[in-house]
Amino acid sequence: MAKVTISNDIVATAKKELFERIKANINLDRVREICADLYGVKDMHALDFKNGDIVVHDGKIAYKIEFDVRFAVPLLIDEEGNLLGTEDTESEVATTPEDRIDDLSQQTNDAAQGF
Amino acid sequence: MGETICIVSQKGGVGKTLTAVNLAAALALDGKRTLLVDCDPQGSATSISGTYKKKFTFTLEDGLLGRAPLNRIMAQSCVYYLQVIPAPIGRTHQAANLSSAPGAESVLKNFLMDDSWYFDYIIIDTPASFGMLTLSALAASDTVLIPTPCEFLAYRSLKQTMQTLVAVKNAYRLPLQLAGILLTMVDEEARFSRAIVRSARRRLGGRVFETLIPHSEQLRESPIFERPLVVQDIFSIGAQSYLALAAEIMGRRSRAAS
Repeated sequence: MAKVTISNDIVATAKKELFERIKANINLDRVREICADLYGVKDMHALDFKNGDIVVHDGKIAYKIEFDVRFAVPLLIDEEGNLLGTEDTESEVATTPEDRIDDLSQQTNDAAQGF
Repeated sequence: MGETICIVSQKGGVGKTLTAVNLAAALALDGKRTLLVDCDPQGSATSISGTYKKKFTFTLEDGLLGRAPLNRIMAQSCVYYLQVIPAPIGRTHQAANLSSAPGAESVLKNFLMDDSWYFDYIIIDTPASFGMLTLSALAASDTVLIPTPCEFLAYRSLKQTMQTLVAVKNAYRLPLQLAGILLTMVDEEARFSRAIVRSARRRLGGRVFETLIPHSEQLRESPIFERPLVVQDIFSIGAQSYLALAAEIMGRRSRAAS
């Protein structure tokens, strides 16, 4: 195959720069909300940009962004090692209006830490 | 030193003006020398604060633009210890277009710094937008009180208001403290309303006032009498809740001082 660019690195560098720019402009609070809505992941310990790629979605160019998300998953086991279930923690999906309100209260409390 | 409390929220219709007016009147009824400053160009607080005069020679605008001192602008309300700085009702509020030059945010603070007058409390009512008037109100204040109705959309906007306040506090290095979140329009019969109160107490703890302002038709309709409800009907549930709020604020302050 004939090469038409000066350097092999040009496309890779441009792609890296593009995703660095996208990464710098990502609203992580919104990503956290999306994680809660789509994947049921709440109160994550860490949310980091992992990598990105250019893909075709429905015939259009799209930017696929992957995140590393860390969150606790508690399991209850008895003395014999049998699984009893999951603890009722904030890592569960906000399924009821009360959960949603509680989520908002927690977010407001986090925001109020600046006072 | 008196305490200046800014009543603020990015959302309209949350009970800011009713809170500013009734809290100011409740503090004054307790014998505290109180000044109500109407920073909202709509002038709603002015119109329901029970001032004897309804037309004003000077308004807040004159004070901010350096055209008149505090004592020439203050209007006596129907409560002995309550004075009001009126908003320029029905006139273009030039002060709303205050310069955004550095230091312009201090214009209200400088205006209120009048050594010949002492107030135990200054209550500032603000517009719903976070423009220059609200910024100057925050810069003039020691604490902020955020009224929040117990309904979902308003409660959701609380986080945004909190984030904006923290950003403003940091950007302008204001020594601003949170007086508290005041839950308003509380309906004990409504599951959602009860859930918000419960959740706010659990998650926000001491950041939420103990006092709740109930959903009350009488409170909602009180502006028609152009006087604070605590004056119009002191035994009503709405008036009693604002008297309780005033007592809570005075109690916190005396505990902090001791």
